[in-house]
Amino acid sequence: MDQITELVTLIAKSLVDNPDQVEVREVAGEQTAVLELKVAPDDLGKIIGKQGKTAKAIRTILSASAAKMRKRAVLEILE
Amino acid sequence: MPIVIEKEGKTASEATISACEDLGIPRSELDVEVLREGSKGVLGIGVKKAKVRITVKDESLSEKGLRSKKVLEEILSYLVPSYAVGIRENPDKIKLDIKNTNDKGLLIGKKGEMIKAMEYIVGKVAARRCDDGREKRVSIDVDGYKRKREDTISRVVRDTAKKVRKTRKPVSLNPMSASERRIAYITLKRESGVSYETKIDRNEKRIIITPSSKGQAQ
Repeated sequence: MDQITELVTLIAKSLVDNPDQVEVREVAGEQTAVLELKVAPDDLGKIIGKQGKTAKAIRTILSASAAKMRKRAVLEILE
Repeated sequence: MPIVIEKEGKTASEATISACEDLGIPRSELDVEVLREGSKGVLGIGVKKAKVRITVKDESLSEKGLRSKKVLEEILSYLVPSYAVGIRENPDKIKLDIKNTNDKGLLIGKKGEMIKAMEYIVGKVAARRCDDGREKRVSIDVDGYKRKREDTISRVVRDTAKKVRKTRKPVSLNPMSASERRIAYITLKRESGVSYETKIDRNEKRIIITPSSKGQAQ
């Protein structure tokens, strides 16, 4: 699971203007883990993207990395 | 224009190694010119850093291309145990080819969904604070998947066009994504005796191949 969190952190940090304000917290559930992603308010648009395109791409990569570990994970972007 | 960077280090070889790491390409693909040899000095006096000028031999490579490759490799390191990324560029495209991986399915994803996601993220990240090669689009392929997919689409389109010419009845193709339709349209342009229309059904778009009214008299 740490690996998934690390990957999401890496991607988020490389997309935003304020990488030091990126926080990823894992809320473990029974079957599905929720990754809560928090960024600087100014960077929210960069993480979501036009029509949610960036967020969708991050979720796709997240699902793949979770599937590799036979787990399920969802991304929650905190506002 | 080739990429040229200057780098400092304790010694000339250290500076070269760190430049290789920054660029993500091996020493054999770089020209190195030592601008200044380093000097250890005596008792901490007169210490001088070595400085080298590095030129990337392959002039078609852009800064964005090299950054894309690095970003992709970083993401891949979390997903698969082994991989190799090849890079080629032309004036409007950066082509990254992922090879030697044991988990192609994971990297391709459902209908190439994962390839698209990686292309999008890698392109976004690489374009940040980067002017050289900005206009180039990042295109990722996993072991020839895209190329094979393109061949399949062209074949289906050609076969369907043949059928339409024979039966003179329109045939609707399966829904395709924008990039896939592009391939289909290119193929259709070369087919005579048929024309086409695109039907939008909620989020899906289908190409319908129809017999063309003029020409092709039976």
